[in-house]
Formats: sequence, C-alpha cells, structure tokens
Amino acid sequence: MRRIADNVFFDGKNLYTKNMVPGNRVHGEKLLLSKWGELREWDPHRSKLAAALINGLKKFPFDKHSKVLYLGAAQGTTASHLSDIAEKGFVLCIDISQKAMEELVPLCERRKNMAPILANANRPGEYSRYAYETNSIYQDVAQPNQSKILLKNSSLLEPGDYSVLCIKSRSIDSARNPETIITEQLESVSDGFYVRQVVRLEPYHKDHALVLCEKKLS
Amino acid sequence: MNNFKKIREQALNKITGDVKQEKSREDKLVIEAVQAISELDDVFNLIVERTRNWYAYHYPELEKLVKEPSAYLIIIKEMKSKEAMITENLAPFIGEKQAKKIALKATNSMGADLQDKDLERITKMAELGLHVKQERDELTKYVETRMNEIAPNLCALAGGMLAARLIARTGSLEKLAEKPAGTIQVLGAEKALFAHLRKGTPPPKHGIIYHSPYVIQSPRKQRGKMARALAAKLAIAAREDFFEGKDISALLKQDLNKRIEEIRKSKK
Repeated sequence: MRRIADNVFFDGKNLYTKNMVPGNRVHGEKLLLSKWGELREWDPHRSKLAAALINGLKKFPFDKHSKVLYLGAAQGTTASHLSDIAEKGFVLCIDISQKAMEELVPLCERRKNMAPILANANRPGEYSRYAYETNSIYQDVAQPNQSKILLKNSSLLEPGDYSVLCIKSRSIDSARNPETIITEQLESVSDGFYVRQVVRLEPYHKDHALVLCEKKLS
Repeated sequence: MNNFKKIREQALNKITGDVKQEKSREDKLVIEAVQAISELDDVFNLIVERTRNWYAYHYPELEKLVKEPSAYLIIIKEMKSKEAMITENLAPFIGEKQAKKIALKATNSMGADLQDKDLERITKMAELGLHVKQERDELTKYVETRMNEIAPNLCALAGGMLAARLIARTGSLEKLAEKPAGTIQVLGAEKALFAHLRKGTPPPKHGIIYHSPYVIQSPRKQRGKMARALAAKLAIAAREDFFEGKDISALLKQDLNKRIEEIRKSKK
C-alpha cells in the first residue's frame, strides 16, 4: 500500500481514499484499516476518476485543499471520494435530478465538506453565489453539450486552475463514432482550456474519456 | 472553510424546498399512473393465462367458448364449478345464446370433477384478475381527468391517454414542450429511428402517436402524413399548455382538420 496523492492510496490492484466518516459506507464498498486510518475502496467501475487513475492519469489535480465544483454529482459516489480527498477544502455538488438528491442530501448531511444544490449546470448564474471560492471543476454530465457546459462554468475559475471533464460520447450522439466525437469535444473545450491529458476509460466505462484541462489566460 | 460552513448550511436549507417543489409537479404523478397502467395490463394478462390453464382441468371446453378475458373470469367467479353452469345462471353475464352453448358443453365436458377446495383457489385467482382489471380502468379514468386539467390542449388533440403517454415518454410536460414536432412524431419508435440513422433503413413514420384515431384509422399510405400533421399540432399544444395554459384547442383542431381533409383528398 502506498500513498499516491493526498488521501489517495494504491495497493497495486485497488484504489482507496481515507474515510472522512469512519465506519460509514456510501454504496456498500469495502472498508480497510491501515496505518493511515480507515480506507474506503474506490471502485473504478463506479467512478470515472478512479478509472482514469488506474489507466494512467499523470497529474492528479485534486489535493486536500481543493475547492471543487462538481457538476453532475448524481448519487454522490465519486463526490464522496472527492470529499475524502479535499478534507480541508470542499465539494459543491450540482445536479439537476431531484431523484438523485434523495441519496445525495443525506450524504451531504454526514460529510461536513459537501453541499448539495439542485440546479441545471447549463445555468451557472443560478448557483454561482455559492461557488465563488472554487478552484477546480469536476464535470460528469450526460448532456449533448458537455464541453459548452464546462466553458459556461469556467468563469468561476482562475487561469491555471484545473478542471476534469468526463466525455460521455454516447450522450452526445449515439450513432457516430466515439473517437470523432471526443476529438470534436476537445477542440471545443480548447476555446477556454489547455488540454493536458486525455485518458480513455476502457474497460471500466465504455466509450468514455476523461480529460484533464487547465484554464487559459483569457 | 468558515465561508463554506455558511454556504453548506444555506444549501442544505434550500434543498428541501427545491426538492419539494420538484416533487409537487403534477405531471410526474400522471406519469407514475401511466406506468402503473401498463404494468397492470401485464399482470392481468398473466393472471388470465394462469386461470385459463388452471380451470382447463375442470372444464377445458370453456376456454374456446369464451374468448374475452374478463367475461371468462366473471363466469368462473360467479359459477365456481361447471355443475352450476346452467342457462339461467349464465345468461345475466354472457347473453342467452352463449349461455345455452356453455351449459350444453358443461354437461358432457371431458374435464375432471375437482374438489371444492381446489376450485376455491382458482376462483380466488379469477377474482384477483377482475380486481386488477377494475383498478386499471379506474386509473385510466383518473389519468384522463387529470390530463384534462394539466394539458387541455394536448388532450383535445390526442386524447388523455395518448397525451399522458407522450409526457411519460419524455419525462415531463416541460420536456415535451421543448421537443420539436419531428421528435414527437417518432417518440416511442426510437429503435427504428436509430436503425435509420445508423444503417439507413427506412425512417419510422410514427411512434406512439400511431394510436391516435387520426393515424390508425387512415389508410396505410396516408398514415405518415397524418402523423406528421398531428405531431406538428401536438408540439404547439404542448407549448401552449406548459407556457401559457390558455385553451386554444378549437383553433388547433380546426387547422388540423383542414390539413387532414387535404391529405384525404390527395391521390396517394
């Protein structure tokens, strides 16, 4: 077991994050005691960020001081691991689905550094007053205009801040070739960001890619 | 961090209200009802099938004599055993002529004489099926009255049930109002649509709006055109219902009827 980033650990096979609420499981994952405290298994099949780490993400953009704006938090699986990582920062979770909130709200009540907001990521104005301190964005939304959504939210970042974009090519166009779609999305994102790395998420998530971007000087 | 504490408190306070507002949207309730109806249909068919198989041990000929599922269940519920099936008893449920036939075949049926406790279980199954059917019919009525309140324009053009199905397909009245007519036309025919986009098979002419009398009662050749005309008006109706709430159904109907006349008169 070795430490690969703040509060992230790897034993050669599985990823773990240090559990912020010891004894508590988010989705029935394995808990493990170690010299760093209680660790929570981070399943690459459920979380695209974990899959990207295993598939060779070179720079991990989150640390314990990260202030993350999480677009498309859903039930909060990945968000909970980000909240483990950013123990001194926070994770602001945006999602459009009231169904997802049924799980996300209790999760946020247990974790002191998470907050839920029911809003459409297409309209950052609706939640920007909560998000003025953020210094990174994690985006995983199932919308056809994914790269546009990231650009719309980029005004909340400073130049040099990182954001992570999960491209779900099947949500953009189910008929066309995923490779072409991903290339198109990268082009569109590069209006506001430098693309630092693209990681394909096979075999954990089919037709998905995770993109690490850094905000340009505008 | 202190700032975030405040933000988190505000967000948690706000979220209860936000979710509550989402949950009090009436179209969501109708969507649940529509889905319940199609599930009850499945359940009803299962029960009928089982009852037919089961009762065939006692009176196999009845299966052929009574095709209509609920009539079959009513006979079993009321008569219980074939010994009770004489013309006078049967007539109130199925009509004189049919009753005579059933009574005649019952006297020399090749079915076994089952014990009362066996028949009791089958009868109970038939009752259950009738309950399901009754609830299904009540739900249909409920959906129609509710839809009339929520989307009067859609209902006037498509009927309550179809309007509700369209909303259920898209997820909400809001989403339906945002859809272009071309999408509404093929809602429910996604498989054929994507086969068309991928492989170039012929495009679908209609999705669930096929069930509208305008489409289904037209000659095969004209159904595509009918579906297109109807979908165009449905799109307008949905927007009116969601954004304005005025009743413009008379106007829409007039336009639609005009277009339909044109289609009927055209040669192909």
